Amino acid sequence: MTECTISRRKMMAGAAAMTLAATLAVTGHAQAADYAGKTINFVSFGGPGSPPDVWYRSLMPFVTKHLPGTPEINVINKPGAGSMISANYTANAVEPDGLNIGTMNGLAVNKAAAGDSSAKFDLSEMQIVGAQKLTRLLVVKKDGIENIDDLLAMEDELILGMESDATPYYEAFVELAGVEARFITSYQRFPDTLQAFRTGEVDAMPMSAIEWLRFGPDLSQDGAVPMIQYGFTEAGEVVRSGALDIPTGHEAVLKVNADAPGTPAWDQMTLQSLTSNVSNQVWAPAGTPADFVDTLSAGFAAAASDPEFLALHEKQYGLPAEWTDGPAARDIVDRIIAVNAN
Amino acid sequence: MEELTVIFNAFASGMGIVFTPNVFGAMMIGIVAGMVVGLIPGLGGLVAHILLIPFALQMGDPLAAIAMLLGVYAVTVQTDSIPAVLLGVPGTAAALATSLDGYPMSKRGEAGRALSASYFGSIFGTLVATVIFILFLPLLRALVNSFSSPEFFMMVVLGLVMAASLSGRSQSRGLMMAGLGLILSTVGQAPGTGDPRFIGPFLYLWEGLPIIPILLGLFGVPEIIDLAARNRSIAESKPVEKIAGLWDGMMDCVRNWWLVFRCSVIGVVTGFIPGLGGNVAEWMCYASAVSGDKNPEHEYGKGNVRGIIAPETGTAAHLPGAIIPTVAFGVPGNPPMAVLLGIFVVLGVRPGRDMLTYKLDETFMMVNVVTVANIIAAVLCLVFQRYLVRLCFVRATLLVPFILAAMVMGASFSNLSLGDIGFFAAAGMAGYIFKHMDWPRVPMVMGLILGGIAEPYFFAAWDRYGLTWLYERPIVLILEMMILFMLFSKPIRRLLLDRYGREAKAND
Amino acid sequence: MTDPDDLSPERRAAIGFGRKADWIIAVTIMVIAVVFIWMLQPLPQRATFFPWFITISILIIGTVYGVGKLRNPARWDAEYDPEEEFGDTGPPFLVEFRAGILRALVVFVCLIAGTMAFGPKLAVPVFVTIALWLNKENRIVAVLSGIAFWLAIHFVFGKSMSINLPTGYFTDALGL
Repeated sequence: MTECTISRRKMMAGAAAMTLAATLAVTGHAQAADYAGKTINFVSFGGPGSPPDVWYRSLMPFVTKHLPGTPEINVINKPGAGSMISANYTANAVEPDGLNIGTMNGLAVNKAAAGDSSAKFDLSEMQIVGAQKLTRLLVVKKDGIENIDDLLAMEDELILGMESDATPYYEAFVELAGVEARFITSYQRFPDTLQAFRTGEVDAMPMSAIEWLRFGPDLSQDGAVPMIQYGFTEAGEVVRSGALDIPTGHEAVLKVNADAPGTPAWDQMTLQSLTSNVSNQVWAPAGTPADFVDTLSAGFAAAASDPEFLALHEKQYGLPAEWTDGPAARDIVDRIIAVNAN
Repeated sequence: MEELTVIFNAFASGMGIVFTPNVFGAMMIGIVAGMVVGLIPGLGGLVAHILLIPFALQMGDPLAAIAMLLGVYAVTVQTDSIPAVLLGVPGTAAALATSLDGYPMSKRGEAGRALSASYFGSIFGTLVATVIFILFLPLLRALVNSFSSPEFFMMVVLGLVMAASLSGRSQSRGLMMAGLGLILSTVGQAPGTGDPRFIGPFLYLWEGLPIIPILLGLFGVPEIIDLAARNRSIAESKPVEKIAGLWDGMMDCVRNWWLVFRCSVIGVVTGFIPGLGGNVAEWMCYASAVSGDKNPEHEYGKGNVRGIIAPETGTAAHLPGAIIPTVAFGVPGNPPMAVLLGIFVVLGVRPGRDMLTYKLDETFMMVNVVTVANIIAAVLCLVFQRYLVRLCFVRATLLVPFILAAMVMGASFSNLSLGDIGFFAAAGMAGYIFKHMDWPRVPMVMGLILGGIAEPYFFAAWDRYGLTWLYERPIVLILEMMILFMLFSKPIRRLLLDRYGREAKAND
Repeated sequence: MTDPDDLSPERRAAIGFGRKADWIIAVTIMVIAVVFIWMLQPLPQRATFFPWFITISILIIGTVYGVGKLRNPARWDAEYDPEEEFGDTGPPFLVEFRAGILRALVVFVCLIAGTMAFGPKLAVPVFVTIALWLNKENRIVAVLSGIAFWLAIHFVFGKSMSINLPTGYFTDALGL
């Protein structure tokens, strides 16, 4: 397993290069769509004020800046059902004219790729514009459990609380690590799970890196510890996010189970880690003209690597913004579809 | 001590939010709209909310939107005392008691004193309520910290049962309406499984039934149809020309400080108990003033200023009180709060422990908006009351088209779909029938809003604790006893009365 | 509480109508609950548990309500006091307000039908103008009010807030 710790300076330099490249891509594209005088409707899967919604909203002024014609962007909130409502709305209820785009998270992509009945669209026909890279963590608060070694050696039952869509990674993890666990999956939204976690109703819960940076300082005072992270997939390997020095689930499993690689549970964890690269995605509905999709993809990539946005992000969240552009995100989604098809 | 520091910091931060340009501006819009609409008897705060909902939903700043709606909520209960005192026409049900002593005072030439007593009663009421809120917050936070899914589920059930039992004359009708709201709340995706329920081919229904068009229809349409059916201006007598004695009214409040304090406490407590509206607070305070007054010269109902101070203080104090259960438990303290809760949810304010911890400043912002809005409204009322009262004489033929049009706009902003209009119309017709057949609408709305909260709590409790949560958790047991008491105290009392009443008759 | 004997025959008739309507409302709520459960049949048990629980509760309460009402309708309904309970207009279809109520309902239905057909952007300003005109308000005020509504919808909501209000079925069919 490769450990990846990217220095902040390198990241900023990389980001600047990406901005330049993306800006050149936007301005130099042979058939770049012109958004002058137009308004883009952007469907956010987060409720107003929720972390993903705030993240997207803070990105929008930079998207406007980097799209030709500097269009206005109207954010519409369609929260619920683990982002499937926003995804279904984007796929079915708006015109594929390049002026309507929506969002979906990695969990929904997995469900859609697996043919879940709640997904009312064909993922392979939807057009991805790009995605926020964001790792997810498992945070644990239980007497006597202070680090990953304590967790792996624990004999008591660990009660994990989460939304039902979030379970595959953690089910695979506890199976491979030999942790006795029970899942409570009735929580509908993140705040419900957080409340159950704080009151001790559950011992562990997942959260994104951004959520941990927001709630972590307070939760740590009560003894909560981030144990493992999904990590990102780089060159076929699962690696730690540069922003958080927490072992990946793969690393933790290997401490107690050297035979894990190659098992179905291991592959499931790998698949879920792949979704971290496309954690919060932006999509255009099937049928959106290619020139619009390309222009949007380049515009979002340029916005996400705009030095001004990166500085703002760093200040707001305490970690650098990371973005997967449209073609790379498409490649990852196609791999997720292929794995699910098998 | 550390906790008190946190609370005071949150209070200061909440006050800071109130005075940011966005929030303060929005609150002022709410105050002006609330003052104007609160003056029009029969309309009240609900219609003011209806007029402002389209703007609130599109403001982009949820806190500003909330400040605007709370501004309306705070001032309508104060301005409705103007027609109550000057014309003997209470603007809302909550101003009935005020008119009992206010109108005789007005006829006696003491309108200014009566109005001033009502404004300052309101101001003192909200101030005392805010202090009580701060003092009891540590206790409340500790209470909420001990609440897990089972307690929250039982709290929601208690809220529904209380609303069903207290908001109408027939308990079984209230319970059936709560059931109707609950079953309608299951439209959409099932929490936990994500299975679509009752959606059919309509993507529109994936998010569940649209709350705002239904609220507007259920509560707004019946009022407007009745106003149109009467087809006359609301007040028909001539307005009082001279308004003086404002200083006397303020001093009346100061002299009756114990009454003000007592009624503030009653107001906060009634606000906290789900299902009890401002009119309950008002009458309890009025009764407290009458029964606690040993002075034979104080004749109530004939122009006693204490008969104005008590209800106005109580209704004003119950406003901050009603915010607590709404934001902490998702259980609205009174019917307007049930409407506001629906809008809060749409605006992204999710009731729960966060509102007393991470978002305590936002909760304090709400409480402070109510207090500040009341003070500003009192000042504005003192300055402009002579002109404001003329609004009572606007013809229904002029008012109705504007309000109906605004309601249709408000409904269609919810999802920007014609489905919104359909639900608004259906809810409007149903609301009209429910209102006039005396089937309470508040339990239905609470069922509709709380159903989506109750179901995940229920399954979380079940999955985590099996059935043991029903009998092993002390708070759950207390809540269960309260629910049983609410459900069966009325029938049992009636049964006992029947039995012993008959025996007494036979003995006679 | 008003003595029923003191009520006018019209009010007594309206109360009688109200008592019949209670049955209709109660049965309708119970039917809605049962239909909902019937529609849920294909779903897994976990998705249907809560609706089942509510439906059974509604049926039990409805039965209690029905039995109580049959045994002692007056007491069970806690006696109507129309003066207190319903305000000026009384229960629906009270003779003295029937014309006004029906007129208001017709106006309401027209507004809804117009909005469904032409969308709120067109229907609402036209409604305001026509309603004020028919109510014999100043005609200039009526026309200006309609124009003001349209301007507000078009510029404030449409242009400055980018809110695209839904279009009506009729305007859609005509491709307008």
